Amino acid sequence: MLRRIVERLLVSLGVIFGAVTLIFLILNWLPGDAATLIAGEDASPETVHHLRVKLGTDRPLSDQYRSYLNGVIHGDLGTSYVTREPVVRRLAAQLPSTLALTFSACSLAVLLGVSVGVLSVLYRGRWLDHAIQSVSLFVHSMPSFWLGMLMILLFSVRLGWLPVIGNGGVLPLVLPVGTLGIWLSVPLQRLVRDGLLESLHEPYVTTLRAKGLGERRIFYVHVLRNAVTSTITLLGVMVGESLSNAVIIETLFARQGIGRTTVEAIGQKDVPVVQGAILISSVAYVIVNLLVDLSYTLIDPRTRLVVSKGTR
Amino acid sequence: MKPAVDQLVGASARAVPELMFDASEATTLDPQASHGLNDVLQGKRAAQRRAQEQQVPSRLSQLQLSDLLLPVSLLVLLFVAACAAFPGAIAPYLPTDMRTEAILSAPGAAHWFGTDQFGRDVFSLVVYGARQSVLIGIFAVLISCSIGASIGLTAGYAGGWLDSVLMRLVDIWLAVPNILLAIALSTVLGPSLVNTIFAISIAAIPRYARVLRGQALSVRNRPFIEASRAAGASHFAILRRHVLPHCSVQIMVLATLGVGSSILIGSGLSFLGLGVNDECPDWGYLLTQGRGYLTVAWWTVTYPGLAITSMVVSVNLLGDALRRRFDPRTGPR
Repeated sequence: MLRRIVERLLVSLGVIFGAVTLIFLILNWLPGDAATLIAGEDASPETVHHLRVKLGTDRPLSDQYRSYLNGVIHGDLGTSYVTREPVVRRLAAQLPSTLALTFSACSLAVLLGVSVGVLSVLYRGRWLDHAIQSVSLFVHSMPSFWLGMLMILLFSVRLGWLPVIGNGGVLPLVLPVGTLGIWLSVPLQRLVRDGLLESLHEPYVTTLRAKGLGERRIFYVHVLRNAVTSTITLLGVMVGESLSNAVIIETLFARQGIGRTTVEAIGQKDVPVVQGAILISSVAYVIVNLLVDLSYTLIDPRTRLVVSKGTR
Repeated sequence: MKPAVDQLVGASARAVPELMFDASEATTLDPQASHGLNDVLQGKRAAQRRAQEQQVPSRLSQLQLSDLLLPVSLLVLLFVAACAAFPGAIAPYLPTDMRTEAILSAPGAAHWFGTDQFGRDVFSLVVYGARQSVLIGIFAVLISCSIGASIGLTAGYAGGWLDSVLMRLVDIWLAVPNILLAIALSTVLGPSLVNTIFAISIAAIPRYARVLRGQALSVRNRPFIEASRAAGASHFAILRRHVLPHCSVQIMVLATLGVGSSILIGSGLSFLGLGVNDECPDWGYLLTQGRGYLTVAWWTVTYPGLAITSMVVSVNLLGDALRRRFDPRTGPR
């Protein structure tokens, strides 16, 4: 057990190191030079060169990479090209807002996904099931920001219940969280539904029936628990999606956060900030996946059995 | 080329019975064990049959639903394709036609989808915007699927260190959430159609690689692979003639569903201002522009979004239909 945990930790560290390298290479090595972009098309070569020296992009790539990596290890993600502010400080100020959004959206998605999936199975083959599946298909095929726009049209413009934009308090959080949560809940709902339908036909259900257990108890106690456990695997993917879409949702609702900072930094060609923001999201994603993987070993007795047999 | 193929097929056909004989010998070594296994298998089969019988009603209704939806989605795709190919023949106005007397007018007889803040006809804009979405969907999938499939099939077939190296790379690639990866790429490359397609493709590659590696892994130890290797076929030939065809259904389904997600990511990039913004804006960019007039003109965002969604729904339905049609393992859902 412990060996497996240590092993997974090392692999995750390797992946994080690889991701740092990948992001660095994309933003610094690919054609497209920040100095040229910032200086504009009409700038003279001397101006561009001067800017390059100032930004430190005139150094060889391996040099830049070494100093960047050294910085990352010491918790330094560089300095913003535009505000000359440390990237870490800038992003740390935005982190709570993004965490509030993504954490609540994921919680809502789990709540919605599981309950709607169960509802769909309870009414399987009937109109409610068909309605849920049709709406799911539709929502799954929407851009998340269009769903957000429709929510704004309905709840803010037509009904006037909720503010469109704003940062303080709970009320402005409702629409962004609702949008992201509903959008994320669809794959989960499908997984829960498929899992439940599948496990209803497993031999252990027959055994339980043979034991004389009521259908209600079989469904709510045994089948449901198995199906819900299996949804934990999707949690990692969900966090990745919510971090990705936070960029879009924060832009749409004009919310503060890492995503909106990223978009602003892109507009200003502020490479260190973009790099730092994507790095933070990737690290968060890797860590969540690691936790999901480990919790799965803890929750599911089958994997535990295999592991303990292997180490014995 | 042709005789070589025949030779290969002939060789594998000859070799297979021998290999199968070996396998059967191995299982009959212990009659008791094989008997037990048979019982288990039979029990499982009976359970499956029962499950199928029980699910007949729900499967029937499912079939009716998709039977109804599939032609509709094919019609939608046909119409979108027509818009992409001949926008001038379908759109009543040009996308550059600005009518100052009809700024932000509501949908009506003159302008079916209303007009935007410049007095442009939204229906015409949506029609002209189709081309970019279609191009993004098709080319992003062609690029990402062919590269991803090559990586995945090679890794799964080769196994060993090559598999480990390729899959570690894929893990790293997957560690950066895909929209963020596409954002990073298009930030550096700048906005243009080719760059958008490139960014989306690169971000989508690891998913294809992951799935197809699993497929190749399940094929690589089949007797006919071993047979053609024994017959002297090169690894490349085996990959192309045996492993690839075995995974073609998966590739087709993945690619179809991939068109939808490519279009969604593309519209997201456009929404963030990283997409193409020339005089003929794509659907995502129309949404960005309409966003400022959300409170006064619902039609500027509703119709472009509806266009994206109906196209992606159609593609996804098509993908699901393909999967149900060709893949016996995914049962009724």
